[in-house]
Amino acid sequence: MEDPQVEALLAKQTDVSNAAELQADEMLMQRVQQGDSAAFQQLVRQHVRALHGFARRLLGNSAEAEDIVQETFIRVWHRAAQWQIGRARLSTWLHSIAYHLCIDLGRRNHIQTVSMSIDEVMDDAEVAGISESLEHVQREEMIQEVEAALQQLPERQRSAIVLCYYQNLSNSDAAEVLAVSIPALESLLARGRRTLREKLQAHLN
Amino acid sequence: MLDAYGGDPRRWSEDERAAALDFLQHSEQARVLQQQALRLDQLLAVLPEVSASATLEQRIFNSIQNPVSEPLPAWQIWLQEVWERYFGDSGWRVVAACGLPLLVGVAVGLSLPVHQNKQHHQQLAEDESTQRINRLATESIELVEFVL
Repeated sequence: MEDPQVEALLAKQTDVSNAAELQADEMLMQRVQQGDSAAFQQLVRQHVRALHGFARRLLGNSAEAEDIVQETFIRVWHRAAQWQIGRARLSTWLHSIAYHLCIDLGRRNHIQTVSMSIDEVMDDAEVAGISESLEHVQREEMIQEVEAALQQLPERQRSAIVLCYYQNLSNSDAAEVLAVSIPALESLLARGRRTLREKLQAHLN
Repeated sequence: MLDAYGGDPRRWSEDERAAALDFLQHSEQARVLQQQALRLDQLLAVLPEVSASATLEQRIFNSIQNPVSEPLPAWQIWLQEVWERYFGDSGWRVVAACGLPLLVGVAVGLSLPVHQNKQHHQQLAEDESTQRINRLATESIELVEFVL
């Protein structure tokens, strides 16, 4: 285990870099609000990857995730005036738009749980540059099981875990995206992690 | 905190992080629990980083047609956000759910017995104005019956 003082320092550095990122986002968004398409393109480049990852982990489908991300940024462009400095972080606002679009899509498609196709999981594993070996096969199986366990979580628990763990949103920002209190968010996280621990017990021992 | 956020202090609540780290220094049991939480964190971290297609950015840029909209009044922004948050694209279902009972209520109200008692109307006073009123009332009842 790392030295607690080192851990505290790392956490503080994360907080400082978050503050700088916040300021840069605010300046960028002000330019977008004035109709600056170059600023909009820069904003897209900075956030498209994170939003795509978020939508894909929620929906378990790459094509749908890209549609969600596209629609999210279209709304950002047309409703730029709605974003107000100090009201919410830009990333929180973006995640909130994407989250509700994912929920609407899920309701239309009546999707309760979604499983990624094996091909999608295998493609990502190959892109990650894992070598062909028995260890590689075992790792791919583990990836598939973790993904399946995540997709089988109830939507709210999965959303909470994706926001806090994979998107690295703070608890307050994640709670704002899900429109819940922080205690409610922590309850979702705890229940989600408990379920994941039970499903993945074989890999934890 | 470990149950919710896992073992990495960078995910812990900023308000509680310092106190939690101090507690970890003095509690063996807490350190054991942190290690258990970290194992699940490491397992979740095996998921590869997802990547969008190379054309997604360009599709987003191409889809922007109109200039930035004028600022909406605050009440319209609030209404829009509430509508999208709670109803999404299913808002028509809410409108139908509210409107249907209203229509049924109006129909039931019009079909109450007092409107259908023709004999009662026929027993009213016989002067000309009363007869006219009777005639009009009867025709109205027949019209409502026809509509229903």
